[in-house]
Amino acid sequence: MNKVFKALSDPSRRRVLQLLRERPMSAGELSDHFTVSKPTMSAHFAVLQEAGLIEAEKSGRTIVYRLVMSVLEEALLGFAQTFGWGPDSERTRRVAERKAIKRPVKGEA
Amino acid sequence: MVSNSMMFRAASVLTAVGIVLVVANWYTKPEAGLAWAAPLAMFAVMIAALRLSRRALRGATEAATPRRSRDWITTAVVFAALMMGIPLALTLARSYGVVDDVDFGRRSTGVLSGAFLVMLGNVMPKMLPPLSSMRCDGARQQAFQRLAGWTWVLCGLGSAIGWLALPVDSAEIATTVLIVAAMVVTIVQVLRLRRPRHPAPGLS
Repeated sequence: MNKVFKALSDPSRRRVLQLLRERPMSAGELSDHFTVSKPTMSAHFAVLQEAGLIEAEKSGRTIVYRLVMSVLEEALLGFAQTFGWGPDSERTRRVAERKAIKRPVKGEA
Repeated sequence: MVSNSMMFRAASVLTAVGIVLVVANWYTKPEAGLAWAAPLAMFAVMIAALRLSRRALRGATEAATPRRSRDWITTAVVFAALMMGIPLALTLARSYGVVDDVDFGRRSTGVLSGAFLVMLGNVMPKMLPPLSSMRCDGARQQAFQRLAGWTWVLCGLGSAIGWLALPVDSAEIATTVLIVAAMVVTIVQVLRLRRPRHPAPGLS
């Protein structure tokens, strides 16, 4: 269960799960929705796979990901989105702002 | 989450306890011999299923599918042994005059059945066949299994709460209505899944 909570704690991974709710998608299709690098996306996919929330299947040269979330896990995802852990939520924005203030800018120190 | 070996031990212990309860009941009420032979035979089938699932996996590769099947068999045996063991224990207790409540056995069995439906519905969206073997659109299959999962989880929850909170007669009716409704929803979705999807206008 710890792995599931860890996987759901990241807004990008939650976004991946939301996208996969619509239909199974290839790694490339999913990556197109994000601005982060492909290795970062691969790391996110690995965390989600390890938690048993998504499954990968090779189809020719592409890897197709699909959702394999139980009802409880889906309820947890909905809970995370509704109660302020969503990628666009006020709380996430405040945490990001706080992190940006704390982090010293290179060259200024 | 309960580990697999613990679940297997629980299944073995519960079936053994069930057999002891059947024998004790038989000893107390020998006139109902056939009524006790049936649960005895069912416990024997459960033990055989446990042993066979264990043996089938031995020597096989540690692939996810056989392991998942074995876990399913073990969990089903645990629930079945509980559902049979509780009424057997209560019947025995009643014949010794320890318990007077007639409805307790029905209620506990109803709550357990509801819990089993919740568990079954919960894992339904996880049991997707491989994409390559699907005969219909993967997205539709996924949507169907998600809906079916939610339907059976809510049905099981409603049923368990009904058996806990309502009078026994009302709980029986409520549970029947819930299960029939869940079955209708599932059947309608299956029929929709089998129907070919019409292409969008303008697409060949």
